[in-house]
Amino acid sequence: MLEQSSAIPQVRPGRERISAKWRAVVREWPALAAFGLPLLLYVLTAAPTVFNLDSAEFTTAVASGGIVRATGYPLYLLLGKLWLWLPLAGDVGHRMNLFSAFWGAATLFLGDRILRRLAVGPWSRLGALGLLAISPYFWGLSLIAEVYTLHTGLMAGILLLLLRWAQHPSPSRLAWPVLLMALSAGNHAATALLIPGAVWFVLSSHPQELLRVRVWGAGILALLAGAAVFLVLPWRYATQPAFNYAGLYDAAGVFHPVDLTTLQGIWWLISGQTFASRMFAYSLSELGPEIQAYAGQLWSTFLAVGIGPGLLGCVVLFKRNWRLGGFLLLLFLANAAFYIDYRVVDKETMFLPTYLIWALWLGVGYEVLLTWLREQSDGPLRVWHLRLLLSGTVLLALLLRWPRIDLSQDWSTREQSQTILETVEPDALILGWWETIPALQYLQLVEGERPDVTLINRFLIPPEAMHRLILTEIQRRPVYINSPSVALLKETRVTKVGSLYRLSPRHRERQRNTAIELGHGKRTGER
Amino acid sequence: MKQEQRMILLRTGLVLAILLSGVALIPFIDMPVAAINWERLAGIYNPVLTVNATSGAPGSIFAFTGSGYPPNRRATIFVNGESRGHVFTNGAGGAGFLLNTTGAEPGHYNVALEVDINASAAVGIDLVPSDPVVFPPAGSGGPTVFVNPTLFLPIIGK
Repeated sequence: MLEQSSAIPQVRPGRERISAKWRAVVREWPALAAFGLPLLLYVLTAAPTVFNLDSAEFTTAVASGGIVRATGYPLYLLLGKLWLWLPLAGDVGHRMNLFSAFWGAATLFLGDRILRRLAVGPWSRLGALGLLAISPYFWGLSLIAEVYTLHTGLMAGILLLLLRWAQHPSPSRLAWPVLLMALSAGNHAATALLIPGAVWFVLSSHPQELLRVRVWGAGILALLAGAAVFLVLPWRYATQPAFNYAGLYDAAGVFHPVDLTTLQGIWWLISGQTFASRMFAYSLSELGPEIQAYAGQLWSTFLAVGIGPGLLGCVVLFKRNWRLGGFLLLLFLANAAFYIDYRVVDKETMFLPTYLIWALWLGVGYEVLLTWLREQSDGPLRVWHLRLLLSGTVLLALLLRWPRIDLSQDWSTREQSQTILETVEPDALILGWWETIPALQYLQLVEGERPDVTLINRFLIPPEAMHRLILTEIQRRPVYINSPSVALLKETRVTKVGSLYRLSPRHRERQRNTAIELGHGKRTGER
Repeated sequence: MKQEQRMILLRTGLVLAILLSGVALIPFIDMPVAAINWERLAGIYNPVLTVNATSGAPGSIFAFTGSGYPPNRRATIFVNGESRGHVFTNGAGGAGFLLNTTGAEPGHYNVALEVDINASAAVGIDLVPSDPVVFPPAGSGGPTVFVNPTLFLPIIGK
C-alpha cells in the first residue's frame, strides 16, 4: 500500500506555479475583460489614418517634435512620442488614434477597479461601464488622436489612488495621487476641476494627516516631480520645431514663436488665456438651454436605464460614505458646471469626466437594485431578468451605434489633404483653418510631401496681417485660401480650385465688380 | 403572507420605476444623437450663410441666415461687394437678415455676411423674371436691406 501511495503521481512544483497563475488569471477575468473588450472594439473602429481638426494638430506635433496651442499639453506630447516607438501597424496617424483607444480602455479598467472597491458585482460593473464604453462621445473620442481619454484615464487613476490612501493613509500613499494630478495637469488644464473634490476628500477623510511634516514633504516632492513634465515645452522650443502653434505670423509671413524658455512665455501658453473669454460666457437666460442640452447628452449616453439607477447610486453612495459621495459629487458638478458654461462649439466632446463619475454611480445603483431583487425569493422580477436587461442594453446599444460611430473606413481627411497637395502649384502659399491646414502639415512634416508649399493656419495670423501678406505674395507665388473675404474678392482675382480658392492679382481693366470664377469658367457680375 | 407579497410587489415596482424613469424624460430631451463628425465641428472656423431660396423674380424678399460667426459682433452685409447694411450676431454666432430686391435688375447677385476677413461667408442668388416671387418664411427676423440703395420719402398724412 505504501508503495502504491508513493506511486501516486505528485504534481511538480513548476506545474503548481503554472496552475496557480492560471487560476489567478481566471479570477481576474472581469478586469481583463474590462480592458480587453473595449480595446478590441476601439481598435476595430478606430480611424485608419490621420483624422482632422485638433486630432491632426496633436498627431503632427507628437510625430514632428512640435508644439501645440494652449494649453501646451506637454504630457500628451511626451507620452505620444513614447507610444510611437512601439512596433504597431499602420501609419503615424493610425497609431496615434490607437493611443486614444488604449487610454479609453485603461479608463474602463480603472473604473472597474474603483467599482470593485465599492463592492459592486460583475454584472453591475458590466452594465455601467459597458454603457460608458459604447456611449457616442466616449467611444468616438477613443477612435481619434485626442487628449480626452488620457484625461479620463488619469482621473480614474487619481480616484483609485485616493481611495487607496484613505484605506491606509501614509505620506507615500498621498504622494502618488498628487504626482498623478500634477502630471495630469500637463495633459489637460481641466485637471484643476478635480482639485475641489480631492481637497474635500482628503480633509474629510484623514485631516490629521495634514499635520505631519512628512506628508507635506512627500506631497511637495510629488508635485514638483509631476510638474517637471512642463519642461517638455522649453525643451521642444529650443529645438526650433517646424510645427509650432504657440506664436503668430506677421504681414511678411514670418513666424514669431512665443519664447517658451521664459516663465512668462510658458505661463502664457499653459494658462490658456486665449480661451478665457469663452469661459463662463453665457448669460443666465442662455444657461437654461445649455443645461437642457447637457441633460439630453447625459440621457443619450446612458440611455433610459442608466438615469434612475445613476441617481440612486449617487444617493446611496452619499448615505454609505458621505466623504466619498461628496468627492464624486464635487467632481461631477465642477466639470459639468464649467463645461456647460463654456462657449465653444465642440464642448459636447468635453463632458467625458462627468460620464465617468455617472458610470461609477450607475454601478452602485445597479448593485442596489440587484441586491433588492436577491433579497426577495419570489416576485415577478428576478435577478436574472435584471442581469439580462443590463447586459442586453449594452449589446443592443453597441449594435445600433456601431454604424454611426465606426471610423475604420474614414479616409476623408487624408483624401482631402492629398487632393489639395496634388492640385496646388509649386511654391504655393496656403491659408486655411483647422479643417484644412493641420492635416496638410501632417502630410508635409510627417510623410515628407510637398516641402515646397507654405502652410499657415489662419488662427496664427491677425486678419490685417493676413490681408497684407496675401496682397504681397500673390505678386510672386500662387496663393490659396479656404474662404476669401469680401475685401479679397474685390481686390484679387479669385478662382475656385477644388476646396480652395486661388488668389491672383486683379488687372486694372477688370477692377469693376466682385467676381468669383467657378471651375467651369463662368464669370458673373462683369461686363 | 399578504404583507410579504405586498413588499415584493412594492420592491419590484420600485426597481422598475427606477430603471424606467429615464424613459419618462423622453418628452424633455430634444437632441438627436449623431456620430462625431469632423465636418460638423469644422463649422466653428467657417461661418455659413444660407438663403431660403436661390432664385426668384425681381421684387422678391430673400431671408438669409448666418451661423458660425463670432458671437455678439457687428457683421456687414455685402451685395456684389458693396456694403448694404449691418446686423449683430447673437450669442451663438448666428444672425439673420432680409434682402429686398425691389428695383433690382435680373441677374446673379453675390450676397456676403462678414464680421472680418476671418469670418466671412457668401451665397449667390439669381433674379429671374419668369420665376415666382419669393417671400421670407414666417418668423424670419433681422433687418431688411436692399439690393439697390432705396430712398423712401416720408409719408405725409392728410
